[in-house]
Amino acid sequence: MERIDLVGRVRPFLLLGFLIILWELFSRFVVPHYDPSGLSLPPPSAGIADAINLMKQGYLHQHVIASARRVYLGFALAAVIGIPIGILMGMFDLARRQLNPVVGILRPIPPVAWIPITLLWFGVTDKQQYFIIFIGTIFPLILHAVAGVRTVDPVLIRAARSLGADSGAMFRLLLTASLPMIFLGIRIALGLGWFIIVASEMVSASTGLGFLITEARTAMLTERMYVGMFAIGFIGYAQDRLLVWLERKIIPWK
Amino acid sequence: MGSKLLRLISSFSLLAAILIGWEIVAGTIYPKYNATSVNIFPPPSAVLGIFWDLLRSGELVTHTLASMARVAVGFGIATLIAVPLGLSMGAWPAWGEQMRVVIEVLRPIPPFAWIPFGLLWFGVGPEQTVFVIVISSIFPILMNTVAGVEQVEPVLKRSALSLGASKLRLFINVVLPRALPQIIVGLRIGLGFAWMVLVASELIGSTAGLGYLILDSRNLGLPSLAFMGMFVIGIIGYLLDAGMRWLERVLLPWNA
Amino acid sequence: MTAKAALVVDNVTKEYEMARSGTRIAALEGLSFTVREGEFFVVLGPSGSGKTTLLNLIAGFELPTKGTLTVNGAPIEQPGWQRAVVFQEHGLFPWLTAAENIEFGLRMKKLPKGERRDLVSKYIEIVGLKGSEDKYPKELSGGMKQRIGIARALVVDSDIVIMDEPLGSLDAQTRTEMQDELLRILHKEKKKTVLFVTHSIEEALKLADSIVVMSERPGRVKELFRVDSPRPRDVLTDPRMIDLNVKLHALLYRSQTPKAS
Ligand SMILES: Nc1ncnc2c1ncn2[C@@H]1O[C@H](COP(=O)(O)OP(=O)(O)OP(=O)(O)O)[C@@H](O)[C@H]1O
Ligand SMILES: [Mg+2]
Repeated sequence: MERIDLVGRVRPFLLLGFLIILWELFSRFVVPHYDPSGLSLPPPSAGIADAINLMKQGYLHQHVIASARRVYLGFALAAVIGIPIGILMGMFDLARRQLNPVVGILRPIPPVAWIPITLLWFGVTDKQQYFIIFIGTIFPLILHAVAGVRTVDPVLIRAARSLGADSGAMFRLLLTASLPMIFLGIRIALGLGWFIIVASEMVSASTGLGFLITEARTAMLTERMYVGMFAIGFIGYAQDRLLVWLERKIIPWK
Repeated sequence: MGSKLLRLISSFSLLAAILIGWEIVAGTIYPKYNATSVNIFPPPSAVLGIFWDLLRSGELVTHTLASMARVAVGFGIATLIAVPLGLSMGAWPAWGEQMRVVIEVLRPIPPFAWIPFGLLWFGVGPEQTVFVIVISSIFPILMNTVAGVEQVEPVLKRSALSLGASKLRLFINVVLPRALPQIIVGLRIGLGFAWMVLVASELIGSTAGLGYLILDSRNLGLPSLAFMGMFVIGIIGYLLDAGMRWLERVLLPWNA
Repeated sequence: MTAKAALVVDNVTKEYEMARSGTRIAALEGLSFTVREGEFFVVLGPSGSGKTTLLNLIAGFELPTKGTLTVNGAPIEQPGWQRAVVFQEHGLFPWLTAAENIEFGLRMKKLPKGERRDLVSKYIEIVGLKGSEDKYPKELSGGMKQRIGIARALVVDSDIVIMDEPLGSLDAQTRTEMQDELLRILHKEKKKTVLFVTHSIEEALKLADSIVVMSERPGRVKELFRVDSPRPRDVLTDPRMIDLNVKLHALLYRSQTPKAS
């Protein structure tokens, strides 16, 4: 019985395991024939060894913290400004009509395209990084807040009105009903934040995971590039799981 | 009719006010206090001016075409890999289950994180950009193709079988058309990713393209160029998305 | 009526293994009956009596655990156009127009184009959908969708047409209309063999040549009725119909009362 269970547990990972082993063997035995230094594709074991090494030195978490600070501060700024704007646009026709063209013009610009001009504005500073994260995360926040308010079931609104809700109560009702969408916006924005920070730190930073990867490249430490890459992937994944869990706690009725 | 037009125009009043305010502040007030240094807040007129200059010199067209070609090649390769792979994953669940684990490990990695690998393996140049575009647009196309195949209702398969469809016909005449809307959604998201990653990739390791152009503005000390490039990138990105939406409507009239 | 057998269900048992516990439950047990060629055969049974299971076996979507099913002497092994199905959820292809949905089976049969076009327009006419040929399913009402489902199954000229509560998802009025429609459509088809699954006693009385009443799980034949009154039938006043109605009610509902109390 227990053995059968074990097989069931291992089975989904067969291909993954096979590919990792293949990669390891390929890097050890095939790559050296073409690239004696082995720098172009070190084996995964080298990456794991380097990750352990970096963690021991505290080097990895120092960069994680630098990136996290940028992501969360930039996001916080975007949330404080973007969510109220979105709610405003959702609730008031005038706000929506006036702000739609502004949002419409700025939104299609990829966040990384802001890097050169912001470097001129702020120089190579954390402020520049915050701005990039801010501009990259504010639009999903705004748009989901708008959608959240706009898609509240009209029956709900009419029901509340007929039950004698005053405007304060109506406001609270709209806000509560749009919470799931706003939360979805937050989830998407934070995911995007971790995506963008990599590019931003690659261009202009001397700390952070994006920097760690570029630094590893210039230092010819390819296995360290793996570490940076999977570290960000892992953080993004863990953050998303956490947000899903949090959503269930905060919005149990969804 | 007239009032509708008026309404439409009036909804641009905030945008117009911002642009005019920006023109006045950046164009006349700011330079008064900063007469010596480069104007890092170029007014809209300066942005338009440089747009016109580069358009006439043909430089803008060259860089735009370079970028578009990279996206076309990268996105094309990604589509050719991801759609068949996704279909095969949907068609053979055991294989799909195995692949899904591999994908789940790779997917959370930000597309931008592949840029240094592109540089390592291909050096500075278009190959690097194409590589990064392929890697980053592959996942949304793949995931949506798999989802598309999985959402084919059993009753549709049974309908087809009981009307005499063979296994192959079932796939071509039922699974494929049913999955198509979802596949196109994947292509749209993938193209959006491709465009976003293109800019970053050209910014970091390229000597041509729109990403390179805006980075170059820094070396040239031309903030207006950076702004102009940003808007051109934004507009093309918008048009690409609009094009995909249009394609969706034309290709799938039954799926409104 | 000819006594030639179109479909023979012989001592069929179908068991399912529960995914969790691994125990086996029987949906059908020792089921036997014969459907004669050209008759309208109704399977009537309470929910969970295994009607859909039976239909899946006849269509060839699943195989029986024990027993045999044969159509015109040949055992049923896989789905095919010889046993066309009309589904409760209609199962129309949303990317095909009404006409293209009807054409689907003909294309699978690789009929030449001209023949396909003639057949499609003939059946469009029969089910009364002229003018709606080029509409997509989403643009059609529930009743119209079901008409296409019926036309699509009839046009392939199968040995037997299987209908799983085809009118079950329609509102009461459309349902009554469609019952009459079905009779009218089938009247135009020369002697089509139909196996029709339903919950509704009234529907069975209106349509059937034969009615088999199934027991609760595991499904068995409780009783078989032959109905030879001419159609259209007046279910409310015809004494024979009233008599049968009472019998069917007793079989279907009275057996459940002891359990309920
Ligand atoms: N694939 C399956 N796996 C396990 N059990 C099944 C499966 N299909 C049907 N059953 C069981 O077999 C029994 C008969 O189901 P079936 O769907 O045939 O009944 P039915 O008469 O069509 O009911 P209804 O009138 O509600 O449609 C039910 O108890 C059902 O739970
Ligand atoms: Mg059923």
